[in-house]
Amino acid sequence: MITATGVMDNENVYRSYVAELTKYATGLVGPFDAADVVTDACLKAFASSKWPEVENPRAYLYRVVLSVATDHHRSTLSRRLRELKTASPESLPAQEVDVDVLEAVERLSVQQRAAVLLTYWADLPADAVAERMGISSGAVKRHLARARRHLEEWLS
Amino acid sequence: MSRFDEKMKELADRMVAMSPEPPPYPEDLAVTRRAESRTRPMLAFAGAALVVLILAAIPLLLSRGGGEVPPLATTTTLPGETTVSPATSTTFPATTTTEPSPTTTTAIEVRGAVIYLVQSPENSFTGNPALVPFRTQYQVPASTPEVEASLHLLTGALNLPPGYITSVPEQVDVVDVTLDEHQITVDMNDAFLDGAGGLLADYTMLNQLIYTASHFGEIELVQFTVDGEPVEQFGSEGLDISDPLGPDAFLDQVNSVLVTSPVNGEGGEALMVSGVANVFEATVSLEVVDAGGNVVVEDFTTASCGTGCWGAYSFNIDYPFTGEETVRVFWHSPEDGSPSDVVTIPVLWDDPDGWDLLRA
Repeated sequence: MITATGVMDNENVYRSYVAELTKYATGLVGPFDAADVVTDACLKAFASSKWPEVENPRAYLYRVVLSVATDHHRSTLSRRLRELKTASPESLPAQEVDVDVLEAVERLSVQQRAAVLLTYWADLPADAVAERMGISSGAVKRHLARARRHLEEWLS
Repeated sequence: MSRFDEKMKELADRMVAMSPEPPPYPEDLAVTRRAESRTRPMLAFAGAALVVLILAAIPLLLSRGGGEVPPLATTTTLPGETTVSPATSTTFPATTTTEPSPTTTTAIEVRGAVIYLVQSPENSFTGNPALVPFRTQYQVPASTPEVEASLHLLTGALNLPPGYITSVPEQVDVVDVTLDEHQITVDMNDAFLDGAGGLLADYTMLNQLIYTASHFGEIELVQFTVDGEPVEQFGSEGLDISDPLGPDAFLDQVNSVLVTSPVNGEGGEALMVSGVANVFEATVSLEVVDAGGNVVVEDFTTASCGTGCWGAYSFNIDYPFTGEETVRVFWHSPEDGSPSDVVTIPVLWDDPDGWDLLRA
């Protein structure tokens, strides 16, 4: 990802990770705003003064996506879900939406969603999840435990 | 893998399966980013300016409100094509109830909205009022532009929660709204011309409207008109507001600490607190206070400018919010170290039974 002149090739990085970052963001904020979150996160990362020194751009981008998604706010998914339920059929988004899953995920904080996604979708061990979230392994376990409580009904 | 793990994996996979197409790489990303990095601080600065003005007006403006800071979340229906109204919905304005009509079929959407109200900052150093974002929900015909709906919500009679006030008189209303890229033209009724009863109140009223309008999208300028004509004589002092106004128009009259995020009702395992401030040595402090009044988080940061200039600041708080905490943002007086110009934002999650702004 580093060019011969030592400059991070932003476009190459972007093209390498945008697909998985979009999936990750979908799990964090839902399908409606995932693309915006990824774009904002990449803009933010590439403009950061830390970016040229980043050793693991993939992990760094995951952290920035989480940060942007957190700023995007927990309530947004709830609002989107309500809009979805009250929208007229012709105004529904073209993409298929799994309302059952959205309603379950809505109960989780963004941090809990990240812990669940990185653990069960990305299949990462707790220390790797912690690195991508920028928190401790213990905090990851706490997020997972809380997520489980919030999802008790869905999981049963 | 246990059954629990299998279900969690199923949940994660089904969530990810809804992923849209990845966004394309913007070819001019680097240029775009440089431009944005200049623009955003300006917008934040402008936002802070408006808040300052509003705060200055608080003591004079308190025409409605008072007390402690509370929760929120109201469901409101705008005037017009109301139809599929749930039993609990209210029709805007609050004094009017619209009967469901079997012949109307306009879709009603529930949306989130943020309007700007006014707080009196604790231990105010400047005496200026604080402009604070207030989150709510409302039901609105699908055809109503978001910004118009929010401005309607701000004008007219409001059942304000304790701790919040507004300088917008009840009789003031929005007649029409026109959007043109980064500028919005808001046509007001005649009552608007009378202002809010004093110069400071007039400024604060304008700030509330400007901030509420510019909270949506990329609106940077607000043009006020009455009967379609720009306003050359406004309020008690006959202010000339015939030119479009940006959020920095009255910045010097707002509390020295402006919080633009979070708004009431937001929270989770982490929270970003951000805004702009013009404080001593650019040092902005923060506390999170739990329901029992205990300070559970303390932090400080350095704004990008201070002691005579406005700078952006932000905090990232990683704390297991229960939804009953309060965030306090302030600066320490160099004289005695006491918290000054304290802005208080309650952290409350979605509450369907929350504060109803339009309750009669």
